[in-house]
Amino acid sequence: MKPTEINAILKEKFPQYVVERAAYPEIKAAEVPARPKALLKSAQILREEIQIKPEALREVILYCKNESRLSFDMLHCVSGIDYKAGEPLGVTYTLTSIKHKHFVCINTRIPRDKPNIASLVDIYPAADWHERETFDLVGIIFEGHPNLKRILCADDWDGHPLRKDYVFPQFYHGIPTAKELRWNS
Amino acid sequence: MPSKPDITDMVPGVLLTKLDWVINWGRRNSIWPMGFGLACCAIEMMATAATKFDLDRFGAGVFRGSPRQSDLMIVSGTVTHKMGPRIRTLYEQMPEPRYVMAHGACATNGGPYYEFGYHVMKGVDLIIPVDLYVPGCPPRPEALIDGIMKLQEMIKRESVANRHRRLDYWEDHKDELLKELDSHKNTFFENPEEKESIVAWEKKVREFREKYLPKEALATA
Repeated sequence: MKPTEINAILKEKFPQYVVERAAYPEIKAAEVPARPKALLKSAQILREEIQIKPEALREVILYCKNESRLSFDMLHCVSGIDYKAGEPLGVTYTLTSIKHKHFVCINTRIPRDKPNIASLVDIYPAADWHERETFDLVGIIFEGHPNLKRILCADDWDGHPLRKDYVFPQFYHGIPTAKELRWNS
Repeated sequence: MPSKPDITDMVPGVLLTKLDWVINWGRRNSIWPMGFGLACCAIEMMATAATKFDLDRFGAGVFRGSPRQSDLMIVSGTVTHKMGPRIRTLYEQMPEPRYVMAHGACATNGGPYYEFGYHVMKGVDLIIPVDLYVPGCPPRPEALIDGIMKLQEMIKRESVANRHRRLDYWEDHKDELLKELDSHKNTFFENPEEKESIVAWEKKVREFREKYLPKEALATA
């Protein structure tokens, strides 16, 4: 099934939850210098994503998993995105169906001052470490996660490094992070 | 009551010199590295130990699984702030005489993560004293072998009475080493302003290291 068809099914089922958004500009082949066509094609497919409201996340994901036309049996990736300082944070879920050989990107936007969203661990166990990583680096709190602690940074690390407003630490446990030694400074 | 004589005050006699020679001969021909790697530099280390480059020719191919059996710690790869305390523990578990080699750009000063790597320690010498720095990203196996040979040179100059006599290598070869360093600078930076900025930066680094490094590290590195 093509991504546009999957998006149409979701829009039909959840008209109140799907957020309309401006379409991405088409990639013109002439503007992409000497790249293989396969790469261009996959980039276009990935851009076909659907944005939903965060409170409907579990409902939509469960429908995607159980509906026989879709049957997304694998959670491919969970990504946290900080688009711009001061703007809402994004969480993107990529679902894959091994049965039908298709996939979909489901995007949500959550406010920066209260970055809470429902956890998917009980639906897809693969979400466990993905959500921990997203919490570690972007600071999104997954409610209902059984073990939401840092996975990459040390346990006592300050802040979430991939946030746009992250402040570079000067010292960690008394060890200088040597920012003073920058070239031309 | 006369104070106990300090062995380091003794003039090295014929006996001590011969003893030094025998012990150093044994030590430098059986440098057993610790079998641990942190990143891509470890792949080069494995290649060095494998058949094509055969680190065993220098007696240094016996990678030990325990820090208590190893003489040389090859810090091969990126040292993160999370990994730092573990490396320090491993270093403290090694028996004397122990040697540390910073293998590659990351272990030397942070390498590509120098400016924006929030999680990377800017050089493993911030936590443990380093004897030898091998440049490269990652270094070729030949570079690692060269480092091992330089370490053998250093061990050759040690004394039972005072291990730090191997610093004489720097004193003896200071002029030619500095000359070599200068020649590299001239090949990289044709513009004199660039070179001046590098020199100023190096001065800053030196001041910084003197301020923050433990004295033990300054004595051996």
